[in-house]
Parts: sequence; C-alpha cells; structure tokens
Amino acid sequence: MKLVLNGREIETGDEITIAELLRDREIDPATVVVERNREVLGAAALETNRLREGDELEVVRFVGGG
Amino acid sequence: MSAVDDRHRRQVAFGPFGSEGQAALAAATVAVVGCGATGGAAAELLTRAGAGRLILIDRDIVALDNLHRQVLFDEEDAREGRPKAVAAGEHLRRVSSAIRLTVEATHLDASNVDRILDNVSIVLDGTDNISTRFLLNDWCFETGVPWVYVGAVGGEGMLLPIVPPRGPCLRCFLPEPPPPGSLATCDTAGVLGPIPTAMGAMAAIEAMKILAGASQPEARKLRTIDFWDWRVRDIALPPRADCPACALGERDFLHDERSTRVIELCGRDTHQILPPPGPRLDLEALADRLDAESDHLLVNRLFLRLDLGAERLTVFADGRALIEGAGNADRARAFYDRYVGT
Ligand SMILES: [Zn+2]
Repeated sequence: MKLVLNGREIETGDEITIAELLRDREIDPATVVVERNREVLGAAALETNRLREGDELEVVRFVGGG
Repeated sequence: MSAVDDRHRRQVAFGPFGSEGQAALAAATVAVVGCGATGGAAAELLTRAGAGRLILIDRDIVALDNLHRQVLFDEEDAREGRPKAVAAGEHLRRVSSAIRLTVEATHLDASNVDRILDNVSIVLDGTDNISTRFLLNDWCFETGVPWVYVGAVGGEGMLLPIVPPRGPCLRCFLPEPPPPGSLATCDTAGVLGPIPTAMGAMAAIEAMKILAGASQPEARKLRTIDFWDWRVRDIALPPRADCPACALGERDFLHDERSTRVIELCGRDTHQILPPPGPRLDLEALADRLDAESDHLLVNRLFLRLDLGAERLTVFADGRALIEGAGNADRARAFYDRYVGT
C-alpha cells in the first residue's frame, strides 16, 4: 500500500505496524517521535497501530551536534 | 536617552518586546553551555541584544576545522589552540564593553553544575553531546530554570524551548540516552556551516521571549528544519505521563560518576579524558617532568600543551585533557596515561 513518510510517498506491505516500518528502515522506535495524520503517538501505539493506505507519517529523529 | 538605550532603541521599538523586555534581558544571566557553532551564535546575538551577564562554558579548544561554522573564532585562535570559552570571551568583550562575562573553560558535569550555573536565569544548549543535555534537563527541572535545547547536524536543525515545571522536556522526547554510535554526529554526517548559526539565532530568540515573559506554553513546540530539502515541522510534543524527569521527578544525571571517562568530541579526531573530581594539577611541575620533551612543550596559567606532530595533548589544571590525533579512545587514554598519568 502507499503512504507518505516525511513528505515522500512510499510503498509498504499491508497491515504493518509503525514499529515494524521503522525497524525495516533501521530506526529504533525508542529514539524518535512519530506523528500519524498530525497526531503524536505514544511508544505503545507504535507497536500496536497498523498503518492504513494514505496515512501521513512524520518521523522525527533526535538531532545532536551543535 | 543614554548610550546604552541608544544602542538598543531599534529593538525596544519592537512593541511586543519593548522596554520591559529589554529591562528583563539586561537583568538576566544567561549560561551558554558549549561555545561552538550553535552556542557561539546565540552568545554573540544575546550579547548584542543586551543580555546583562553571560556565563561561557566550553571544554574544547579552537581548531581549524571549527572555523567554517563557529563564528566567534578566527585563524589566530585556531593556530594558538585557544580554549573556546576564553576566545569567545575575548571576542564578545570587543562586541560589548557593558556585558558581564564569566569564562569557564571546563567540562560541565554533575560535580560542578551547581557552582557554575548558580543564579542563572536561563540555560542555552550549545553542546554537541547527549550526556550534557540530560544533565542540563535534570538540573533545570531540579532548580526551575528554563533551558533551550538546540541541535544541528548534516543539513538539519532542531529546537525545543523547555520551561519547568511544565513538560514537555528532553526526556519526553528521548526517555533514555541512545546507545553510543546510534546518532548522527558532525563526524559521521558532517554539518553545513550556516545551519548551526541559524539554529543558535532561533535559540537566542526563544531565550528573549522566555526572559520577557512572552513565551506561550502552547507555542513551545519541537521545531525541526531540514534546510537542504526545506521542510519545516512543528510538533506539539505531549508531556509523557511516565517521563522520568518532568513527570516522575527522577534526577539520575545529577549523580556524580567517579571514574575517569573518555569522551569522543564531535567533529574531529579528538578525545577528552575526564578524571574524577580531585585536587588541581600543578602544570609547572608536570612541565618539569616532561622536560625531555621540552622542545614540544608550551605551558601557561591555563593549560599545558605537548605537541608531538601527529598527536597533541592539552592538559588543564583540573586534570582534564584533550588528545588530538590518537585515532581511538583507548589510544587517547594510553597517551594520557603515558604523559599525565592517572
Ligand atoms: Zn519530560
């Protein structure tokens, strides 16, 4: 199915959770903030919520440096 | 109108800030933790804006590959390897004769944070590492002092103003420090020169709003900017009900660590050796012991420098040392043990 990740359209398997999507992309779900359709999700929701066609995801990783 | 008023009249003319904001800024003590790229830009802008007092804290020395982004320093600072806090103070003194400056050329940690940040009005994050940020977050929630988190790596910057006792805080975002090597650093991802200055400018603005009492809680969002692809995101980070710092009141990072630590500094092959707090080092006595290396030795009131070409050691009187060119943490530690001893 198609969804939008950080402004770019991507193709994923059906019914995957957000945590699965992140791990596929080698992102540790404990180190990011995720917005789904403009709503911030808690850690538990990342493991259980299944993505749907057309979802808009924003995944924000911590920026160190300075 | 006095000369000082004259200097800031264009800023005072901005109504929402006004003379009350200016007075609040003039009465404020701002701690800048890390005087590199983000912190240096914020420090200069707040000096110009009329902050009353600045505490400049930095453990590092100026190097040539800092100059593309660290606006307080020049080639002479890099050639002489000046401590950044010292060089920053000298630069800012030329910008303003009125500002009160306190220079702390040291590593901020649990053992000295209460002394160094005593009586500050606000803390600006100019650090390049996670552990100091977790320390600042705990300290600010313990004392009720606001702080502004800023980060810049690659083509990207991030900012979050944090005003205790209200969340969200840093640990609402990142409950635990990520494992070493898991975050992009200036070493692995590089950094575009102007980006940290842009982020430091935003941090200075947030500090002015907070000090003027004009920072609205609902406007304090996690702001991320991808400067390269130009995407700006504002995320209303909800305070976590189980946040260790702002909800549960844990202060894990204020507890002292008692062992010597080696920390890799962001941006080049430099390691910092951090012995546990103890008596101050006698730099002259150490210079005498290193007499055989005297051709490569420089010692002054602030530090001792041993320059062996490929490797360079700078030891400060508190026992802290910077080792350049060692290649890895173990070799840096070995180099320290060889010349300074533990
Ligand atoms: Zn929190």
